[in-house]
Amino acid sequence: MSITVTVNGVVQQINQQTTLTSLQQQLDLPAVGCVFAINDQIIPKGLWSSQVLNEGDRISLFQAIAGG
Amino acid sequence: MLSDNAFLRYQRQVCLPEIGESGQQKLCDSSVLIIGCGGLGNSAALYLAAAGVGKLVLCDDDEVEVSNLSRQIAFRNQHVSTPKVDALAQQLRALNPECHIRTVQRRADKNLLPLEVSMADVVLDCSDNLETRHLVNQVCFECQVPLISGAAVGWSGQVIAFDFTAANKATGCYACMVPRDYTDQLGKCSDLGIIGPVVGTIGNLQALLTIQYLAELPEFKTHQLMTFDAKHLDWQKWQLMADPDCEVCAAKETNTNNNEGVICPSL
Repeated sequence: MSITVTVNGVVQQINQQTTLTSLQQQLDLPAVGCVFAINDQIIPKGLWSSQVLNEGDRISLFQAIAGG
Repeated sequence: MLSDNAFLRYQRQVCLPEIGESGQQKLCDSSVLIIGCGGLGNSAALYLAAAGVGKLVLCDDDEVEVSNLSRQIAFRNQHVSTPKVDALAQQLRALNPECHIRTVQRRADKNLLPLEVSMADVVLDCSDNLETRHLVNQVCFECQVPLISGAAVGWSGQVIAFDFTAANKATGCYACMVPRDYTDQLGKCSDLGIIGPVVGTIGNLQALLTIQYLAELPEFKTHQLMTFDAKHLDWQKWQLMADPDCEVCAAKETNTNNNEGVICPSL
């Protein structure tokens, strides 16, 4: 069974029980210095490997910035 | 009790019911540490001095360069090659002699930060690199001093407040949001460019959040990241949660005695 999520607005079909870590690997998403959020909730890196994605989740990935 | 002069100077904010004389007095009695006197620090410091914050401490080890002038708006052409803290202090004193300015022309490092953070009511992270940002976060967390962190590069801005005072423990910190696995070329204005009003917008928001916190507005929101897309003028809000594996804030009480951390002097 697959579920539908969006990653930065792009629709993706993924397997049920996919975690954030496996999504990042499957889609070859950047990870270093990046912030992941699901439905406007930032997911700390320590939870990426246990955070299972659900149907309809809006996943956002953005770079932390340091300039000032 | 506000003096007549203070009442006149700050009348436009004192007349707001959320501020009033008591809120203004809180601003006048407060000390704010500003780490970094670039685009963020310039904007934030100008508004905080104008608003009557009693004491501003400016920390930066750089000198003004001509390439700073397109966005670091307190600086003037004649300030090129002078220390940023001195140039900014001069402008702030000219703006509001009631605001006491102290300058620290040093890099914000592990030797300097614990004492300076301990003496502040709020810390503004206006620095330009992740190493400093993580250190400022750690010291603020351990000293239980609120941190208002801003960042801007290119067409993007980010701002978030962390209330680390005792009532607000265990809700996460900067390191829960930005892991320490970064590479150093991440997001610096000198490498990637920046549009002046973008960094100004974020610095102004840091000043606004500082005023909200110091005047004790109930709407002050901690642990909420705001991101600004300056091309499309879009704002987004994101909630932060604590990382159970965080090296800074996880599974340890805020204290002054842990071995790995910095030592916060008790004042």
